[in-house]
Amino acid sequence: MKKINLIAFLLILSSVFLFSACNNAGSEKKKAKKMAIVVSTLNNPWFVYLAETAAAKAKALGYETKIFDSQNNTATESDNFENILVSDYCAILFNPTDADGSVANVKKAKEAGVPVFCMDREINAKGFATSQILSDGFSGSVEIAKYFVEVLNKKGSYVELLGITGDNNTKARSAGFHSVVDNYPELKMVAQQSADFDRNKGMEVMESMLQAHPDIVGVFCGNDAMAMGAYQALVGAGKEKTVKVFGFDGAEDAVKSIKENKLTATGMQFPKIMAETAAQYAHEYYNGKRDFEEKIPVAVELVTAKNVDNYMGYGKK
Amino acid sequence: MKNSWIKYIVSMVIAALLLYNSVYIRKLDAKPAAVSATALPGDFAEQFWKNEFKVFLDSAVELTQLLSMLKTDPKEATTSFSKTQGIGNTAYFLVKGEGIITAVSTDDVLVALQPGDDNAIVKINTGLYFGNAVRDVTGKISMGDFDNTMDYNTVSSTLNKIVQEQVIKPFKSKVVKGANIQFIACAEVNTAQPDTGMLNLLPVRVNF
Repeated sequence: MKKINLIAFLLILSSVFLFSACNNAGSEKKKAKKMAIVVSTLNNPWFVYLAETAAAKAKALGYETKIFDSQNNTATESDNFENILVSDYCAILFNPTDADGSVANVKKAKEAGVPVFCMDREINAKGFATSQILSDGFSGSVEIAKYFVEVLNKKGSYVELLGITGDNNTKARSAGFHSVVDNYPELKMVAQQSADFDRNKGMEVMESMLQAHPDIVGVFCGNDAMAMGAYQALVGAGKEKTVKVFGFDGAEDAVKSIKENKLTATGMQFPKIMAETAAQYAHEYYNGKRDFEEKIPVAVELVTAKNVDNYMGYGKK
Repeated sequence: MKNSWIKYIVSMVIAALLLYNSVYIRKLDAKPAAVSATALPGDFAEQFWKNEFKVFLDSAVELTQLLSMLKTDPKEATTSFSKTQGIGNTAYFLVKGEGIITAVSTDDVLVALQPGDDNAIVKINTGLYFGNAVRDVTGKISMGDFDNTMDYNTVSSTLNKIVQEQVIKPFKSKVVKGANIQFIACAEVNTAQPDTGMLNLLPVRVNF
């Protein structure tokens, strides 16, 4: 009898040992082959492209997909996560609305055992998202700023249109730009205002800036939508030839505009690479992989009239 | 007698369990920088420069060897000697060399590694530098070490300022055409076009 007890005891201990050695991987319930794609907004074609590319890649890998629009609102994003977490999705491909405000949603997903793969925008926390595939906006803006200094010949007044306040991409792009331009004392920023990454707001803000500062020679915009709006305002004021406009994103209309010598430059992000990498990682997670790099920068390339023929909207030809 | 055996086996199993959960095996190249990334980014960069980067200088590859490899087998050169970050076409090399300054301009000097051979002329930066070569060339700092990528970017800017003050300024003050220098520098190579034009170097140590 004692012998049987001993064997039973050792078997229990061995099970505990094996359970621990598996690092819980084996205990997870296999979820349905469904991926949720949550994007900050579907009002901007860049994010539509990001979402649709992620969905297409996931479908090609054999998953059902559904795209959720957070409408640039963390409350809507939170509702999207609530719905996703009760609907047996195996992964979330996520473009956060707010670097701080979106952390709680990712945390909730992790607690529910659903891996989150961030695309383009980061969350300000470690240990919650399985991996974050992020545009290197700071370094991209450094490249744009170097060209800005060269084109403006190191002098003149300029203005800056910022994206959504609180968004890490807004901060990174502005900081990267200023890390270069602020070293040239004859380049003077005379106004800086948010236009929320929005084309119409970009036009309105530019119009009022032009009234207060008619002598500017350059505009740096945190995205292409605002740059296109700013360019429209400059056309309205008859200043499109004297004021150089710099954007960021690599959107289709911006690339076309550079080709037509309207915008001066943009930073090409690679939404296709980010979306497809996120979907691929989610697929690998589903198949058992667990060791992902937590944050992966994706390089941003400078697009000007000199090299624009190598590019198309959202990527390289 | 039987009881003591049971106790012995149970103790051994518990000890094995505890030992297993106390030891984690990770790849050496996955080891994070010894300097804590939870420190303020500026302090982190200073400590990294002082404690980690200077030790790393010993691993610099001979520049003449790299130049010839970039021509014959750029893929192998990149795999063997460079570090990259994330997804992109930029590879960073730490190189060492010796040569004669053949031209001096405001933001750079030309150095002939083998006088008479046009292919062995490199450009050494003496102006402002804004890239990520110093941060990324060791491969020891990754974006994932930081909660916020702004901290990661600040590390790069701070390292650039340190190089500007401690290396470039003193170098620039002594630069003269015809001087013989030994240098260690970072090279940034576009892996999509590895062998186009003259190599631009950011000096991290220069001796006359």
